[in-house]
Order: sequence, then structure tokens, then C-alpha cells
Amino acid sequence: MGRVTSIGTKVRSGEYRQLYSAHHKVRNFLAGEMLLSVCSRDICAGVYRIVLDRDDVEGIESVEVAEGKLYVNGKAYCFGAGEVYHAPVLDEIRDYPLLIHNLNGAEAMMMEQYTKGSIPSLLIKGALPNTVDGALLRYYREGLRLLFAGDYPAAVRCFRHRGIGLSPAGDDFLVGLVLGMMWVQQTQKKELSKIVDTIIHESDVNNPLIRTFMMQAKELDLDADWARFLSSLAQHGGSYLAEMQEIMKHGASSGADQLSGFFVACELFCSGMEQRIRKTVKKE
Amino acid sequence: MIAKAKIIKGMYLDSVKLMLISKELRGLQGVEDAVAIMATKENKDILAATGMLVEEAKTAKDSEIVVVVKAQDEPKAESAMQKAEELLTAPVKKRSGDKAHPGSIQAAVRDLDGADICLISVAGKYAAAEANKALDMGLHVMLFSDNVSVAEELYLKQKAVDKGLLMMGPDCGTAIINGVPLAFSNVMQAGHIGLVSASGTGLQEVCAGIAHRGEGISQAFGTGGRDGKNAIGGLMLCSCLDFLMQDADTKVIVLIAKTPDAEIQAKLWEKIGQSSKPVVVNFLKDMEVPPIADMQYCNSLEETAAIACAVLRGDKPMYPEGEGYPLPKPIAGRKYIRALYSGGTLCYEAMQMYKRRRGHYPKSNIASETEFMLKDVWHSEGDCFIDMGADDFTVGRPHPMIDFTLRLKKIAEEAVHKDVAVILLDVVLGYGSHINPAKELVPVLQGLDKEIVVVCHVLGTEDDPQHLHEQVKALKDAGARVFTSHRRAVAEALDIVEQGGV
Repeated sequence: MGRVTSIGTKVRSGEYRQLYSAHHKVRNFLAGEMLLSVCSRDICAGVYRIVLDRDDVEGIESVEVAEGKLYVNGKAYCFGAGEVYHAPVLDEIRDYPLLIHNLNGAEAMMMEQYTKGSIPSLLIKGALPNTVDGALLRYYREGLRLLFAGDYPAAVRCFRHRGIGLSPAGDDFLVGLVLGMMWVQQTQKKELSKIVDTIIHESDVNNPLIRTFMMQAKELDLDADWARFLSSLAQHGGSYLAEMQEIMKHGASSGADQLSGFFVACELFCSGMEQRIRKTVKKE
Repeated sequence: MIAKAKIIKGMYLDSVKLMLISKELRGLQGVEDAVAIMATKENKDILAATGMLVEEAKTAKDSEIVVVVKAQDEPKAESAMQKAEELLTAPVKKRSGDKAHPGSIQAAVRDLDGADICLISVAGKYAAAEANKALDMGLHVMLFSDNVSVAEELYLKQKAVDKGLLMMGPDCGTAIINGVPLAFSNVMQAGHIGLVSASGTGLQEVCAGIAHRGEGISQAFGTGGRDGKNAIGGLMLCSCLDFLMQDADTKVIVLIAKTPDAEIQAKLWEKIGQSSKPVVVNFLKDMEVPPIADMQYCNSLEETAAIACAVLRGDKPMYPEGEGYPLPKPIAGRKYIRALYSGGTLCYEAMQMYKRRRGHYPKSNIASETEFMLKDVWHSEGDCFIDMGADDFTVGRPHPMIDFTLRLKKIAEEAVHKDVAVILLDVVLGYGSHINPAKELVPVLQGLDKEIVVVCHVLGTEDDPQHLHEQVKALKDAGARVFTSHRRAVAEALDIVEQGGV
């Protein structure tokens, strides 16, 4: 019998056979309009994920979840209450200067160690004008300008469905933006729900992968890497940098793109931020 | 210019592969641009704007992936599309290299008969599970990895105590067991001083101090920095003390820890009170300590080494003569110290010394009080003591004891400020560290404004692979004031700025 490392609270009972995308460490199955991800042990826990105690998940064609039972390619896997992953509830921030110190440190590091091909890398390195990257950069810069000017619907239209990757980079950015705003709302008691609703509406989510990410962001159903990163921002010491590094490893550039959206939310709604991303827009 | 496209149907691809395909195609001769992208309406606009929205790409559905190549001519475009096809169908490469390495702790133990200690250095999220496996196999563990939760650390240490094993770490960077240096450690002679430490460079500094005084060690255990916290209960500090108290080769015990929590201190004092051997203690803080026979409390790492050697010999503590550098003439406006450390405990000790003189801490990235914390770790302010081995600077990079790149850049940055009087550095020698630190530092030090004084502490022993005396000489020749005692190096830096800068 195989072993389950974690199974998310939002994994519903049912049989899943329709593959949406595959990697040797993750296989995404369609689950209605969302995705159920079956992952190897080095992928962190999440509410829509089943993490198996295996080095890879190649060859998995079907998953069946029933009450307390899981079958992978027909083979039984055991799990108990201890393996069920609940997204953590984040506490209200008490030491705001510490938080801002850590956020600024984290953003500086992200901008310095940008992931190749990500939105931060385009903003920092630039791109040749008559290339796909150059065209994307023009949209992203305009989107950022509009965001900082407060024109959220027009800004979202510059990002949505644009960019490389299975989850286009612009959509990942919007996921991070929503996640950042929801986090600010929950931990700093700022009312941002109307803006979040506008952003989600304009995001016109039409891709099951992005829909799953966006739903997790809106509900703050954080995966374990994001949960550890956001918790570490409220703590002394530099552990937030190592935690952020784990997010930067997500996908090809998904993690970095989501982080850039997250930091833009912080620049918009947390006073004391150094506006590193906003400054890249002024470079134009 | 010609563009060609291919819709990918019936294949399940991940983003990493898509990006690699784009990158490889862009690198081909004659290819102007290439992309593997979801065929959303918005991405088609992008392709159109760059002259890449060819007929085939236009017909792709929103949910499909399209590979588009723009090349100088038809043959180059065709050849790029063939390459794309190849990359799309290539199997995922898993591992490279033909040397056989054991794939598990179990296999390593099979290969190395009789091994009874396991050094674990893997990403934090796997570290606890690996340590647990090792303990289950009856191995002592040195856990070099960090990012292990407190709950996991407690579980592992309780398990180790129950099994009579050592569980050093997490984040344990230094240990010398049965004369074998592990991770960042110095070459020491065998002797009769046994050490246990919840601090890596603290342990190294005391070991080096012992070596400078002609003595050796029996064992040097690391416990990881959190062992002295209530959450862990000092489990390994106590276990290692128990071991040293029983060990026939150990005649004097040294205990070093960044100030343990009060409850743990009480536990340690009680244990020390039961020792039949003299114990020398340094909690890296000025504090009142209970009167315990045969226990001496020290205020610096150098004093810790000096007292341990003196107790062993039944003699007075020995402090080598000062280096005798004359104080430089003050230069108006130059008043600040910028300390750039690779050793966390050395930075911490320097901050304590600063506080003793000035009544408050300098700014730092490792300050425990928000008031003294640097606003931006990349920009110094006033007197500023930076631990460049902290996560602020090491995520995604080698530790500054190994790689000097970032520290050299920071030295040059600090030196351009006209209010900086002293740059204070540590250079840690031994196994694990850079093989020739002076070679890295000398060109940069030689290029600095001569108004700036460089004070440099070299931590090491004569038997270290970098050769202590050679490192000291090279740095002195480059104009630095060099000390083999950290306490004296910090005192020199403070003396210089207190007499009005250089």
C-alpha cells in the first residue's frame, strides 16, 4: 500500500481521469472547472493537492477519492486525519515596522534574483522592441502604470491571458495581486474587497489552472510554501528569504510572477514600502 | 523574415518545458524570436504585434499551446520547427553524471561499513525526514540543514535522547568528533578540553584560541542555535554535557551558547553543579551567574579559550601580546565602523562589545530589537554590523565563508562613503571555508581609499589548509590591521573611532 504525505481539504470525493497537464512531479487532473493536482513528495501541500510519498508521479492515469480512501491507478493509498492539509489562518500583524522591514528585504531580493523569463526579469532587464518579450513588457509596464494610477479594470486587461507558460505570466501576476490584497485585508484589517472583486471579474479566468490558483488566492487557501513565507514575514531573522526562495521555484516562472503581483499589492496598500516595482515603470 | 507555427495537440506539457523550448529555439542560428505560448486572444495580439501571428497560430484555440518561430529565412525557420518537434517529444532528463553515489542513507551505510554518524545537508523541507531515518538506523546525526521547524527539531532530539544518540542541529555548522572536523571546522590537535556549543563560529573561535595556546580538544559538539530555547529545552546541550562529564579524555569542559532562555539556564547551571570537572561557560552576554564551584563565566570568546587552557594547566590565563598598531590620526568626518562579518556569532559578540562601550547596540541585520534593526540590509547607516552569513544575503548564494563575491562588493560600496572610518572584517579559515581568502581580499583592500582603516580578524589554526600565517601576512601586506583574536580586533576598531576617527 502506498503512502499519502498530504491531502488537501478541498479534494472532493470522485474519480479523476482527464489529464490537463503533466510534469514528472505533478499531474493535474480536471475536477469540474478546477484542477486536482497529484504531486510527488517534494511539492508542498495545498488544499487542492494530493501529495504522495513518491519521487515522481509519472504514469499516473487515474485517481479515485472516496471516504478516507484513495486509489491511484487502482492501487490503494492510506491516509488519516494527520495527513489532511488545512490552509492555516494567518494572525493579525502586530509589529508593523518589522513586517515592512521584511517585506522590503524580500522584495529587494526578488528583484535581485529574478527568475529568468518572469515579469520581474522583463521589468529589470528590458527586452528588444520587436520581439514577443518586448511586446509583453510594453503591456506589463502599462498595466503597472494603470494599477498605480488606480485604474484597476484597465490594468487587469493589460495582464490577463498574456505571457508565456501554461498559466500565462500575466494571469499568475493577477493571482499574486489578489493574494496580496486578501492577505493585507486579513492581517492588516484594510477593506479591499471591492477592488479584489473588480480585479477577479476583469481577470476573466478561463483556464482551470489559473482558476484553481485564483480561487486559492481569493479564499487565502494558501499552499504550505506561501503559508510559511507569509508567516515568516512577521518574524525576526531572515527566514522569509529562504521561504520566498521556495515560492520562486514554483513552475517555470509562476512563483516569481505571483510574487511580483503580491509585492505590487503591498506597494499599493502597505505604507512604508520602497516602491521598487513602481520605480521600474518610471524607467520607461 | 519568415514565421512558422505549430499547434501542440494531445500532449500534456508543463511550463518548465515550454520555457526551455522557447530558450533553446531562440539560441538557434538565424532565429530572431521564438515562443511556446498559450494561444489566448491576448497572446495572439502579442504575436500579431511582432509579426508572428501566422495562419496556423490564428486557428489555435485558447486552451492550446502554440510554438511560433521567426527566422531569417525559410530553411532556418523549418530547421527550428524540426528542433521544436524534437524537444517536444524528448523524454524528461532525470539525472546526469556517471559516478555512482549512494541514493539513500541506508545505501551509504552499506558502502561505508562501521559508519555511526550521518551528516545531513539537504533542502530544509526534507531534512527532518532524513534525520529521522538516520536516527532510526542508530546513527548519530549532524544536521547542517536549516529551515527545520521547532516541532520537528524537538521530536528528533527527544528521539535521539531516548536512543542515546547525538542529534546536532538543525543549522549546526561546526563539530569536531573524534578528531574529525565536520562541515566548517578547524584542524585541532587532540587534547583534554571538551566543548559543547550552540554557536558555530563561537565554537571555531574558542577552538582556535585553544590551539593558539598550545592545547587541544577531546570533542567539539555543536547543537544548533535553538537548543537553548525553551521550545527545545536544551536537550542536546544537556546530553553533550553529560557525555563530556563521563568522557575519560575530557578534563575541562567548555559550554558556549547564545544566551539560553532562563529556564534552560537554570537547567544548565544545575547540571554544571553536578560536574566533577571544571566548566568554563560563555553565554555571549554580560550576566549575573550563580556561584558554582569549579565554574567560571567568561565575557569573550578569547577569554573562554584562555581560561579553559589556564584551568587545564593550573596556570594563569595567557593573552598573547598585542599587535602594537599605533592609533591613526583622526580625519574630520570619518567616524563610523562598518563591520562585514561572515560568522554570525562573531558579529553578535562584536555587537555586545560595542554595547559595553557605547551603552546601545549598533544597527544590524541580526539585531534582536526592532530599534536597532537596519531598515534595508543592503544600505548601511551609522555604525553598522552586518552578518553576511544571515539569510538576508545567503539565499540562493554560497555562504560568505566560501564565496567572497558579495562581501567584496559590499566592502567597495562601504569604502566610498566619506563618513566611514573603519571596515571591520572576519576571515574564517578551516575546512569548508574558502581555500585562499587573502587572494580574494587583497586586490580589493589595496584599492581602498587610504583614509579608511581595515581591521581584520583571522580565525584559524596553523594546521588549517589555508595556512594561518600566510593569510595573516598577505592581509598585513595589503595594509590591514590583522588580529588572530576577535576581541582584540573589535577593540581596535572601537578605539580608532572613539579617538575621533582616523
